[in-house]
Amino acid sequence: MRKFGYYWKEGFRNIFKHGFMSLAAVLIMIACLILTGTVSLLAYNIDLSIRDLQQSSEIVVFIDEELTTREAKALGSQFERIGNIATIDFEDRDVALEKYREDLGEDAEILDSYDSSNNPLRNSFIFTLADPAQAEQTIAEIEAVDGVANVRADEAVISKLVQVQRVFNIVALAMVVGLAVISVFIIANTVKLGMFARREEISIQKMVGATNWFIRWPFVIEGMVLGLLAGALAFFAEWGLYTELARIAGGVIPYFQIAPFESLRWLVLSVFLGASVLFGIGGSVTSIRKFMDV
Amino acid sequence: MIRMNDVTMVYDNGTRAVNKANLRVDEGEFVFLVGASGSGKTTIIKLLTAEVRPTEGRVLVNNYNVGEMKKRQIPYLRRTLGVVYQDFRLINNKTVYENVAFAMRTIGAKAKAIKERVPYVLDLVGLTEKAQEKPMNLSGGEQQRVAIARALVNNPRLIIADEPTGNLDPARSLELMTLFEKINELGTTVLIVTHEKGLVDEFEKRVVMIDKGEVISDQTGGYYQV
Repeated sequence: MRKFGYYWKEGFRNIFKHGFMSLAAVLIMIACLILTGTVSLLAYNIDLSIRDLQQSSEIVVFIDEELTTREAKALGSQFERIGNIATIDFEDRDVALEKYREDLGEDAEILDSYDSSNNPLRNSFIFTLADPAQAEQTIAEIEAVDGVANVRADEAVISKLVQVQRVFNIVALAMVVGLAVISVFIIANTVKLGMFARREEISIQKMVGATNWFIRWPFVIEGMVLGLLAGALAFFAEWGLYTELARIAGGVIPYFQIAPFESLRWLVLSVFLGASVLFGIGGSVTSIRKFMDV
Repeated sequence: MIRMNDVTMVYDNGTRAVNKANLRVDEGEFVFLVGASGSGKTTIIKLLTAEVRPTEGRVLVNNYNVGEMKKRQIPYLRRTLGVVYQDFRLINNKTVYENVAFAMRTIGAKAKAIKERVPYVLDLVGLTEKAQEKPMNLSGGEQQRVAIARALVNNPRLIIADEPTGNLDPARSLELMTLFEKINELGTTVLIVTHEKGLVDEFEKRVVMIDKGEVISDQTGGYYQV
């Protein structure tokens, strides 16, 4: 307990003794956290919008006109056995004709000569997929069912969206890793500077029999406190920035789906605090090692 | 206390600093380790404080086997030693009192013990009046006495001093050696590394002479042979 008090006292002493470097480390960590946080949140929202687009991308399966409406509807049970299908809706050809009439509005008279006896439309099923990335395989399975006349799906659009999503995730991950490394490097150098200034003290401590952890703890606490401070400040800054960006994006791209910050705040707070403490401690431990070999 | 048996120490660059050296120092002894510059004296100190490990042979210090001990045991060996250097190695932004107390705090001593022990050792080395001074305001001899107080404060069984009078004039050197003699009379074993012939001859203690990493003479009540 006595030692615990000493470690904290020394940790805070280090922070204030090298006040400028501590401030620089906190500011740089805040910048890194905001950058990584914003990129991750952007990736999350793009992912959300892409998922939404993918979910709403429908596959329309037209049934052979040889089959009666009742027989066509019965194919539903076969489709249900195919994996990766999220929803199935059957569209009666007569209902489809009525809808078509409504869609045409004033021009609906071109359909005046058509009724259920000579309906030119086919019965159809409308599908949405659980995993749009597997659209190609699912479509092949649908086409293999007897009675399917034609399948209309925007496979190219779906696969393009999936590609965009993958690329964006890779870019986001690379940025997160890169900025994490920068944060550790900066904290490590701040702590190293503190240790360099105190290398005489450390060598005396080693000489009179201090254990490595006795010397290390104050520096670990220094890194942890700087990390916590940076994490907390970055969280509030991210909150403000995100809210403002969401407001701007909402006005410019109305269909872009943006999650409200309130729904993400605990996640963002725990990730920011966790990551910054980890970077802080990681930076300290990395920089201490070479000063310990006395 | 100290047992060195056929100890050889070769540095990574190939320098053979100690060559099949044998040395035995018993509890309560006062020993001068003498030799010219580069004879291997400092490497012997480093072996005794576990800063380096022997390439061959066995080094036993206060029952710790330096060659075989685990890294985490080194602090505990060092707590049984007090080391004094030629350049004092004091912390300039701490007072005399804080410099001495720092050594106790570092090994986790209680505040009460520090308050009792530090004034005692400062009195022993004659620095009670200077307790609140910063090292830079003290003379070389006084700074070295602070270093001795720091070495003594954790009540070590053995004091090792590496050229402790190297930066002092003859009168201060003599004072300091008298202080070491006093410490020895109080029961602490003292090993002093020096190349100051006059000083060694003055005290007529045991003298171990090193040359090219080998012990070439060992005489009790001896003189420094040039």
